[in-house]
Amino acid sequence: MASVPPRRLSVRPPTPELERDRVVLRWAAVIDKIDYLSMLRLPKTPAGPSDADVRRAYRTFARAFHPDHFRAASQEVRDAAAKVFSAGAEAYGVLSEPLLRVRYLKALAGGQARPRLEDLEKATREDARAAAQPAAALAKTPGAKAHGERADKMIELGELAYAKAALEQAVHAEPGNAGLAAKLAAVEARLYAPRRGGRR
Amino acid sequence: MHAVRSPGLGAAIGIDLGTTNTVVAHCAGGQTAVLLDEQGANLLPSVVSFHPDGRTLVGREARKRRVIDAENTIFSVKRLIGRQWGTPEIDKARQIFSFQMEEGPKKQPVIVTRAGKLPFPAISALVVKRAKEIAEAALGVVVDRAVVTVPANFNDLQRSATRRAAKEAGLEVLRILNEPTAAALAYGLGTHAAEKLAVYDFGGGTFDLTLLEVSDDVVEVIATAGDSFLGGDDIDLAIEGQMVRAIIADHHLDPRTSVEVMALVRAAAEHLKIQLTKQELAHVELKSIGYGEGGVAIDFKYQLSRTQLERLAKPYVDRTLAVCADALRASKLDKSEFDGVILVGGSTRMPLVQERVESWFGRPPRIEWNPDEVVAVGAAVLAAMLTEKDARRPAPPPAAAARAEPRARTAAFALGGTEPMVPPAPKAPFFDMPGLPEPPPMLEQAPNRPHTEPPLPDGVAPMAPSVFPVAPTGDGPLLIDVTPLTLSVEIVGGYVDKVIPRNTAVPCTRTRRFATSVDQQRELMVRVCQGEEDRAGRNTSLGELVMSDLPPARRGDLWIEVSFALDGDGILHVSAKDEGTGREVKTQMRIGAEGG
Ligand SMILES: Nc1ncnc2c1ncn2[C@@H]1O[C@H](COP(=O)(O)OP(=O)(O)OP(=O)(O)O)[C@@H](O)[C@H]1O
Ligand SMILES: [Mg+2]
Repeated sequence: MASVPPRRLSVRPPTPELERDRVVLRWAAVIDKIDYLSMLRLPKTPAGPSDADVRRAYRTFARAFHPDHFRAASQEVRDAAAKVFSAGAEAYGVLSEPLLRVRYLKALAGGQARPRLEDLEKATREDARAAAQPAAALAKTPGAKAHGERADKMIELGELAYAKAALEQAVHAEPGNAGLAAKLAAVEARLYAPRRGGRR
Repeated sequence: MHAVRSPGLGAAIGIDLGTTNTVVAHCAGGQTAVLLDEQGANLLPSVVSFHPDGRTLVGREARKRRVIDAENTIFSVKRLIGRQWGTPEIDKARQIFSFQMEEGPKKQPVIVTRAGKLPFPAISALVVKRAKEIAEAALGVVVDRAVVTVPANFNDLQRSATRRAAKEAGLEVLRILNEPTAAALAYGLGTHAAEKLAVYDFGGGTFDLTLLEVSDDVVEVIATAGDSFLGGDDIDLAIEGQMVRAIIADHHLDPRTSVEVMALVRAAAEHLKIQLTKQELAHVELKSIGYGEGGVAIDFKYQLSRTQLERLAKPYVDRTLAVCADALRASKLDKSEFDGVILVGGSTRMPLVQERVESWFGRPPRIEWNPDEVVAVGAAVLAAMLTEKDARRPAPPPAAAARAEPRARTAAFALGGTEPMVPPAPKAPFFDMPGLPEPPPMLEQAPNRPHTEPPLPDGVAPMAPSVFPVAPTGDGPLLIDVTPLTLSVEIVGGYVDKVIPRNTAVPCTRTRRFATSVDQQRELMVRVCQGEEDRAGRNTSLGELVMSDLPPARRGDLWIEVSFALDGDGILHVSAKDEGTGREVKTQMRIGAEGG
């Protein structure tokens, strides 16, 4: 990279560094408002991106924004890169944690690009607690209970797709039941990825 | 042999500032070399001794004086750096170590030496300065920048104290790098597609296990766990205990009454341990450890077998494996998913350690690099990547067979009060307690700065820009490090609210909302601590941020948003913002050695 000697009061042609810095500042200006998928440039499909896609996207993102690449840049650009990278790492954390991911994709579908992470995490903790209980115990009405029992049996058999369908019916029967919704989220999470390292 | 550098800048090196030994390495044009001192030694003992004649000795010469001048010979400072007076670590150290400590300003412990009272970073600075001299002599150029490594589980205070030590030694710190990441760098990143690596580092004073995932030149730290009070020193202490019992039994003499004799016994214990890496049986003879009837000098002979050593060492090796299990649990991965285990640290030379690690992970560990050099090598690689525009990937480690045997340690247990001959050393500067004013940071300000985007009008949904910035080529592998310890805020009842959990990628920013807890609360105190405990008091306190003159409000009606921003060097920026008025207060947790 040839360094151009500074000249006073003259406009220099944009260097690759300058162009890069501009892009970083543009990202930093909007990063607090944009959703996690756009941030990592993942497509918005109904099922959400696969675990492998999320990882690949994050690595590409990190290659572009990690503050290590901006050591020689101005303080402003360095701060901007750190800000963008932090947000992308947060996106990666949410999208690769099954329960958080389900919660987030629901919020996104509901029009919330960036729900507070704090709130998502709190909801997820409740999900985890509810998910530990049988669906039949979470249901209050007889209709939902029947679906719940079926879901529990399917979970026992490892038939998670059927369990999910049964839970969706239970949630439909009792729309306000947060426990059932959480149980559904947990099953969806398990369907999506049995555990973090389980790819390949 | 040297790469072309910008004029006016010297060479950049990698320094593994160890508890026991310091190693310095240099990388240029893809070639990495461990730098040897004038005598050809690769390990610089991290020991400083203040001689009665006013000289300051560092390294082997200082280490020799552990025996004859125990009170003025300072070692294992890494165990203490960044810790405050009154902490259990310092209390424990005061019992174990033969040098004196007392409370200095701002709860900073100081070591009382012949040369005055010195804080820990000042001692480390002397070691770094010596490492810099070794590098300059070996390279024949001025060295002014360095990547310095620290254990993964060092907290922010320990990191900033280490940084200060390097600065005081006249080095610009390019990066404080975690040791395991350095080890992975030494083994060449991204040369294989998507690898999961476990770095098992068993050194003199600390143990760490770090789980990394490496692919496409990106290294992601998955989890880290460690014990900063578990190392080869503990094994030495166990052997020492046996030797003390033997001395009492054989000679009716308690060696613990003499600092000098105890230092001698400790050195002999380590010597035995190291011999038993290669041999089945080892012995030592300590001369004149006391005087018997009629003033006859008592000599003590002691013999230890590898089996006996392994019985003593086993509990410590077991503890390392318990830490491994902890890290693995946090990672949610299975042992079998790892593609490699890298051994780091002198203690991993023990056959027992290699066997246990192999059987625990179910695969033979990698030891192509000398385990006590691999961290410095990785630090040098990163230093080159950060300073050379055209840095290439370092050459892979030489084949194990082709490596020269590491130089044997010279065992010098001949005792008799004779002062060793020491070459005159330049007088080292002493350190002012409050710390010298720092030079302003060098900023390369772009002559024509890119302009900031104008804010979006309200109601317009922002869109992500359509392109990513293009990363410059030749930047080398990218390391995505994590924070090893949870950062929390103390809440009502002495509990903590975990704001940045451990193993979060850095840099990172997290916010939490807190409400006032009493009516008309005038002041909100954000107490920040670091650690895994649920009780604030059991974690390490990092500092506090006070927001005063709060507007009058009923309890629970006033909301304060607290933000934690952790940067790549482990410095925490804390801010608190009144959501109602938008007023904000900020601070940086860079207390520790700098005292605020
Ligand atoms: N051949 C050997 N066999 C057994 N132990 C050894 C051998 N060589 C060195 N050691 C031990 O290794 C330890 C020093 O290791 P190393 O130099 O890696 O530590 P360090 O990096 O200074 O410490 P730390 O990693 O805790 O900061 C000492 O306890 C030493 O006794
Ligand atoms: Mg070490």
